[in-house]
Amino acid sequence: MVSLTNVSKSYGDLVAVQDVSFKIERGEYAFLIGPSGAGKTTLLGLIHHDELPSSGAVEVGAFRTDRLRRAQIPKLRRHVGFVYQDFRLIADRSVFENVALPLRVAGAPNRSIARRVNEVLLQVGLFGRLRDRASDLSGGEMQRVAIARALVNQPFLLLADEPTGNLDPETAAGIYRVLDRVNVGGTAVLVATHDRGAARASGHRVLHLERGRLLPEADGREARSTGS
Amino acid sequence: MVSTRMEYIARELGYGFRRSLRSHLAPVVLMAVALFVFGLFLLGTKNLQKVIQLAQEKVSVTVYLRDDAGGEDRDRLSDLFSRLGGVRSARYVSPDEALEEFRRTLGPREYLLEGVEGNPLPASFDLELYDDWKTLDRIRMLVSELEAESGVESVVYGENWVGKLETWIYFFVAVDLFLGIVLGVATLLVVENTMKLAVADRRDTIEVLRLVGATPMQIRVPYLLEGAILGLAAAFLALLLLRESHSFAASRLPGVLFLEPFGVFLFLLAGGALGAAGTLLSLNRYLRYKKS
Repeated sequence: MVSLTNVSKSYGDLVAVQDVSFKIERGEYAFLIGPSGAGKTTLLGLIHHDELPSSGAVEVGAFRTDRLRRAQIPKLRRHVGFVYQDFRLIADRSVFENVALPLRVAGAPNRSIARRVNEVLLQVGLFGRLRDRASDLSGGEMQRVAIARALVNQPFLLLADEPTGNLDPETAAGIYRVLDRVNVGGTAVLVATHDRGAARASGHRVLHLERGRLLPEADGREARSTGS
Repeated sequence: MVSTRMEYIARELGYGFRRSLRSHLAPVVLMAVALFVFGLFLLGTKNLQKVIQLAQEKVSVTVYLRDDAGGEDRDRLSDLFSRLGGVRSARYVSPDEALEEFRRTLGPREYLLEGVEGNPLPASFDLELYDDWKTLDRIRMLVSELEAESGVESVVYGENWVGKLETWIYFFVAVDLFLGIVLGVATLLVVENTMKLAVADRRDTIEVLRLVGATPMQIRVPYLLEGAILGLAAAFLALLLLRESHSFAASRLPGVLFLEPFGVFLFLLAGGALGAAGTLLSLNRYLRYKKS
């Protein structure tokens, strides 16, 4: 479903990602770990087509970077949810409007928007907070809204870039529980984090990135067992 | 589908205005000032054209007849004038009429004619030319043709005056064109920079719209409409200022012209188009995809 083949990404002389290959299967849950600057965000950006690779091919569902027209990129993003560390909500809009935005963009009718927004807010534990302004929420609630927004289009893949980076451990654990529920619902999840402990504790597959290179997966499992 | 798209655009437009109502004030005022300065230039140009037109109306040609020219010559020349391309009308002035006009010109100094015996003034034709014939080259061509006619003593057309008028027209048109280009570019830059600030204020929304799969067109359209509405408001404000300035000028210089209704419509349209164009230029930086 997601396949990266010999993908490299450079910014001038700086090599952010080098010769990375891996696959994520439908419904899989994986962690992408590595220290800051290892290339985790760049890799997620490549999958989400925020960036194009310098070489290699990224395949996400039916979309392949080397055959992709720019007009198709928004369509791809409607099938891939993205959750950021800094939430990226529109602060002056309500929870409902933030979550409904992907559906409005996709041209969904109002009735189905209301139904679907309520469903995902229930899923992330924020049912009943529809009218609250995003700026009035706590960090954990904002991240739940961001997850709800990422899920509202029923994507086949959810990407999360340090989703608990700005949250206290208890709230972070709550976010991981939400992501687990999302995955149980059939959505593949790829979480980038520098928190090896959380990745290890999850029991899911771990991809270990160091200086732009993906370590052999046995090393990743070793890192999981040795921890940091 | 069309209605949900329209609803999306209207909703985003509404959010845009609600969010930036106060911060929109500065762009509108700045754009209004820029458009006002450009409007002053337009009014200046329009009035300058009127002055040039009035000056050109004063250009005329007088054909003096020989003393021995008879009625036959007069009829032949009349016929010739009606056939010549550049002559709009020809008025015959008899020696008596010429003397009477001269007497009127002298006014209180009419006594100067007391010592003059008889009427020394010749008969003549006053020719009024078509506007496009009031250039030095064409008048010279006409004069040389007329001077060759029998019965014609001389042809007078104020060579000096026509020459100077032409030089001034060329000068004013060149300055006007230069000013127009400079002010046009300056207005565009002011609008673009103003809208750049307005768009930068909302880059987080643009980023989120991209994230959730909005197409560049879906992002652009609400902003374009917003820019056009702001431009329209600025043009309306500039028009009010221009109207006041015109009233002030007209109280001191009667006859000063203002924009005609169609000109007002075009001015408002230009304001809207400038606002939209400024937004479009400012938006592009946020809608580019990062290349490999």
